[in-house]
Amino acid sequence: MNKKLTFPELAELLSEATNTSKRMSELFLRELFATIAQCLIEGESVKVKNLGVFKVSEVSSRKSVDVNTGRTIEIAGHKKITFTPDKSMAEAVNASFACFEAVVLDDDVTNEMIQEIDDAASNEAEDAEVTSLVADEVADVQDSADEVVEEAPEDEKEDAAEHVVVTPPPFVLENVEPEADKSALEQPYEEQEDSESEEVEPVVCADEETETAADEESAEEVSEQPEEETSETEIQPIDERAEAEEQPECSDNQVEIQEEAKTAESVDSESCDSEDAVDVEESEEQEESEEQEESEEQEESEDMEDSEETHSRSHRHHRHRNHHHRHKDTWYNRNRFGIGFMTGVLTGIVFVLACLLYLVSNDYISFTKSAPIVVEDEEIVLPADTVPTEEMPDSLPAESQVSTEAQVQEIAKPAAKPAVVTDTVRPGNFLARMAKRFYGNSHFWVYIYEENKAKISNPNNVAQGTIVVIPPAEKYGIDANSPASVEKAKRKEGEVLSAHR
Amino acid sequence: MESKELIEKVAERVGRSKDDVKKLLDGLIIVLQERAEDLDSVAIPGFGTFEAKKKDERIVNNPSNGKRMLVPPRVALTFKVSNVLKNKLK
Repeated sequence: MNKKLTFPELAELLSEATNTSKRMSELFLRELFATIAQCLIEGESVKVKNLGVFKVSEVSSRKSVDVNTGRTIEIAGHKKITFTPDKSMAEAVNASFACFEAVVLDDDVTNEMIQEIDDAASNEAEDAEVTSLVADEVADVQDSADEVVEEAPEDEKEDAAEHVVVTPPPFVLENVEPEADKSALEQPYEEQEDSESEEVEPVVCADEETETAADEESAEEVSEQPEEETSETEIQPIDERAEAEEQPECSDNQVEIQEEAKTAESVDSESCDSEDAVDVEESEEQEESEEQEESEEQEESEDMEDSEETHSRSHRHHRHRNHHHRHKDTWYNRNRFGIGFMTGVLTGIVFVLACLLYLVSNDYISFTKSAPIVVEDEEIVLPADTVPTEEMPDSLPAESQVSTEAQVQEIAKPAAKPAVVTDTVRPGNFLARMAKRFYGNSHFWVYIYEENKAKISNPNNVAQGTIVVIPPAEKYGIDANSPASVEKAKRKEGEVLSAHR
Repeated sequence: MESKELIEKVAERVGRSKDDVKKLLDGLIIVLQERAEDLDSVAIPGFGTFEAKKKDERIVNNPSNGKRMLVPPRVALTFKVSNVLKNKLK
């Protein structure tokens, strides 16, 4: 999108599209446009089938006003090249807007009316934005409502497990008060509890939990009781209901809950507590559907997030489960700890290995070669895998291609310490391609150009056979792996290209 | 100069058969079209730049009957001549 393609890129695309060599497609493009240009210069128009027509037209001299001085000047007559795309080409390019047709406006439509329509359109756009914002807010509210409903049962459960035994009456008041704020959202849920709830998964869990639990434990009867009560006294304020629910719990499940609270505390961390509750839940409902497990996982994630919050609130439905599957929680924790430990150890090992490698490679170089050769070696590494011509301006391209690493070394060794890497511009070996070979990214050609400004007048059209000096990568801070460096090169590329457009 | 003549000339200069050149030219047109559909621009040094540009909708007067028309927006392939060629033309 809005990318500028350079000549080599176009040649590459063409060679891909037609299955010809890059060299051939480059040659073809060059000759094609040279031929067209030549014809145009001769004053002939050129028609290319499926592309369009290039025409030369005369522009007669005309008078104009110099913008700076205000004097009238005469613009001399000249020739102008115009391009008219072929019908098939124009239609293909315009495909996305092809659905529109020109409309004849009625005579009584004035400019003002059109202006009004435009204004109205922009207003509508604003309105649309506003409504979308409102819609977002509504969605947010709904989300939060869902959250609240989801949280509510858990909250109650957890607190029941932890605190009810210690201080039932004050606690109930404390916790219910903040919930009262959300009472509007919660109440429908509470009312539905005994019947069927359509959308909130946790509610379904709650019902099923109580049912399954009832089969298993005697204490379940107690937990069912409060729910019946709530169904009977639907309009009761939440405090009362909560109290009604909590009190039987304390009496019957006291021993259990105490145990649970203790174990939960012994595990100590808050997140563990909440996980505990959820894990236990998970394992207990093995017989239940997967859908429920999903919802529980959601709950788990929520618990992790607001573990602190949930602590301070009351949880009703977990209480009878906690103690069943405590062992699972410890396994969970241990496993988690194990994973963390393993990753730590692995990273450590990798780091140490990297250090060793670095040291060894350094040592190797310093032991095997003397200091001055090291410099040469590094410089040769650059062109080694490519087709460099070191200090061989007159060598033929064919020869230079044959030149291998050994050859390069031979030449490089007698050369002075700062060995200069050079390359010859040939068909198929542009600056960009050189940059790609030497630096790993074609955008760095600008630096080669910068280094050889004296020899290259126009970077778009470098004379063949020009010997260019490839600057060492450090000189311009060239690093193909660094996006910043590439970005810098691109900016520079833009500057250079615009100067030679 | 028509397409056929152009192909003949280019084939001569490149040293390939006319069929090969025709194939390449068709390929080039397809590539240019694809680029234009992506709103990319293609620069050819020493010749010019092909670029697809979006034109806004506008109202025009039909000079023959005085009716005004609302012309819809469209994408048009434009060609900008390079300065090199422009200077050569003078």
